[in-house]
Amino acid sequence: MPLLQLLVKVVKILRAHGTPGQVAAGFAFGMCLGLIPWDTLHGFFIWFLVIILNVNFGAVLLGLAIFSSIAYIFDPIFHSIGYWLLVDVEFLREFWTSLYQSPVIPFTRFYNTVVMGSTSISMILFVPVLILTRWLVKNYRVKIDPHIQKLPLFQMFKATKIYNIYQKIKVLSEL
Amino acid sequence: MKYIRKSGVIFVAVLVLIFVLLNIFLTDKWLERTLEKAGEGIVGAKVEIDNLDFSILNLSFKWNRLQVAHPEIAFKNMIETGPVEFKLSPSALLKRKVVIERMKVLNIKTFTDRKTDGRLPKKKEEKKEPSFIEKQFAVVLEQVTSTPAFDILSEIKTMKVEDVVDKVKLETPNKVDSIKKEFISRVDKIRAEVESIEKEIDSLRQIERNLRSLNVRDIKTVDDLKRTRDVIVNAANFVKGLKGKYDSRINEVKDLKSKIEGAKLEFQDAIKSDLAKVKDYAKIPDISKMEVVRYLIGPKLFSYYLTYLKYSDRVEKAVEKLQAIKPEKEKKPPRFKGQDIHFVKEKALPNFWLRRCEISGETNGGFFIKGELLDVSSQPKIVGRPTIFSLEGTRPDKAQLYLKLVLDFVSSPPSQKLQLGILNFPIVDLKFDHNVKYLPIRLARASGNFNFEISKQANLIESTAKFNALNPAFAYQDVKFNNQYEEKVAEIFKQTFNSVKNVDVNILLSFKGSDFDVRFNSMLDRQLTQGFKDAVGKEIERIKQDVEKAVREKIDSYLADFERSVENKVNEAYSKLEQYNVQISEFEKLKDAKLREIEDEIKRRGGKLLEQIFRR
Repeated sequence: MPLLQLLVKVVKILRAHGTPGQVAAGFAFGMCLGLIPWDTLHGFFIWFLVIILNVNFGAVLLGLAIFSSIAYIFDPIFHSIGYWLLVDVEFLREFWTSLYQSPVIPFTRFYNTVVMGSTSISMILFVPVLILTRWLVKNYRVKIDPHIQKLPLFQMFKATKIYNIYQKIKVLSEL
Repeated sequence: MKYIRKSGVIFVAVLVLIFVLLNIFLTDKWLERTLEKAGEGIVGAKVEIDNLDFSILNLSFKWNRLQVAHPEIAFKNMIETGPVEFKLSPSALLKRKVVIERMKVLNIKTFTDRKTDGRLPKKKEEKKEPSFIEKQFAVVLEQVTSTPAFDILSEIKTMKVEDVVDKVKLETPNKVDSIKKEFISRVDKIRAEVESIEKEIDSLRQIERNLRSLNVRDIKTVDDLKRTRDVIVNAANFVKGLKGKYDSRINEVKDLKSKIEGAKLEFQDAIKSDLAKVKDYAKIPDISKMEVVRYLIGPKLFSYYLTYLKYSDRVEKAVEKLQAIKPEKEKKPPRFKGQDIHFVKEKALPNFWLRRCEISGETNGGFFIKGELLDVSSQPKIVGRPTIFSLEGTRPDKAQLYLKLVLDFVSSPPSQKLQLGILNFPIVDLKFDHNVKYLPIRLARASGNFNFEISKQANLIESTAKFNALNPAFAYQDVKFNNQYEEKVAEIFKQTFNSVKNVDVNILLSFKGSDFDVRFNSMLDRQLTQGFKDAVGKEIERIKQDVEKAVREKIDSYLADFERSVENKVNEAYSKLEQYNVQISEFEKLKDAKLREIEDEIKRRGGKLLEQIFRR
């Protein structure tokens, strides 16, 4: 059931709400929120951006759901990457030390291995995820969606209760 | 405006408003709970703060009372304070650092009563391998809690030495048996070989007899003489072969004999160890120096030592981790928690720094105390100054207290020094932690001084403790003694304790790497040891001798069997071989003599023949 709900959500996001750019930005921000621990200054800042910027909120939640489960699996890798950047890369030590002693920045908890690892990965993935999602949404809407709409299975699904419930609560995801 | 969500801006504005309102109404409660929780995490018992007041404008904290419950004792506070005030540095807070310039803790009290049980359910602690120091202390604690010198008293009369010896598994009989088995096949082999030589020696005897009966003058011709000489030479060759055999056998026997001597030394070691084992089982003490004071105050003192060293070690390790330039990677930190890397830099700010804390109050012992705590910091290397805690206390009865603790985590290796003194204090009901029924259970009354000092640097620990009690009055528990020896010892001890006007104990403790040394010096010990010797020294000596005798009797049968089945046989073979040696030597002498005789005879007859030829 949850899988089906997720699938419906994905299709719905891909189909109509917001421009491909808004969906892609929402998904990329969702990815960041999924990967980066929330009790950090930049975690708050991303939430702030997500709320005030005109991005697709459904895509944010989708990205968050997918990447927070990935984050759990990849946590030891983030720890290793973070440790490597903070401790093993000698030429960065001076830079980290000055950040550690500067105002406000320490609230990002950049000195934590998991925060550093997950933030670095999010920064690396942000633009590729943004571009790829935008391309996917665009192509889906033009090439795939008309065919899916015509599928008898989809027609049948549209007639079910689940779809009706989703129609009623879609307002939430369109916030 | 295309990119900004209007509803989003409103939502954020509402959130900020809610946050401000919550901050106004709930911050104090929230902070109170947060600080209490953090404190409980450190102490492992309830921490309660009353009426916390936090001002966001000047970042000041104030509360009326702080109670830190005792983690082990119900309804008792370890520490209770009156009003506490401090202010956070705003510039440091902007850098996520907590810097407190000045803190005031008033009316501090120790060991106060509380209305509720402040103990928290104990968390399952990970089983850690005890440190070297913990292991050493465990050994010493074992020494001071087991009291063989006293345990034997109840059994002096009833002890059956044979029963004790039967109950202990002796090592020597097994050792003797196994070595006997090992030797016995070699002994049999050598005996068989000696027997085979015996047959050849019989032939040798026959040859010898023939040789002895040979009269050279009776041989008629020179040719016969020459033939006889060849026969003797052949016999000599046979004996030469026999001698070769003999030499290798005698070497084997000599080797076996030296191995038997080695085994006998091993038996002596095993006997010594068996004797020690039996004495240990029978709890026969060494009463030359008893260190009774060790039993009296050792358990309490060592548990204090261990507690101090355990906590100081914990603090040292935590600080070391916080100020490590290249901290070791944690293998498996909890999920989403990671590992914090702290970037230490000189002349910067540490994560936490309490620059000065003034303390005043009263201890449960009635001392009015006043002191200060300087430079408590999470990264002392940044601060560049050691943490110093100094405290002085006085009482209306002129008793004094001083304490100075210096934790120097700035220098490398880190060092710490604690000095504690309580002077001129009247002692009332000082309880001793021991199970020895002959010793007093408490010091009912005295006036005393206690000076204690401990310094630690890396794995070098040195400590001295001096305890001095004037005009002591000891109290004893009512004990039913099992025999007259127990009564005698108890009486002598009581007399000794009662006659003492000054109990003076010096304790020296040192760790140097893996060397551990602890010494108790006290006049009282010498007196008590002498008293114990006078009371039961003879009886203990008798038991010791009986035990030794019983052990030796039991082992002797095995040794006799070993002697019978191995040693005697080897010696027998050896002496036989020695006889053969004599026989062979005698034969060789005889052979040489006969050969010489024949040679001389040949020469003589040859000379005669030449003379006859020339005469002609």
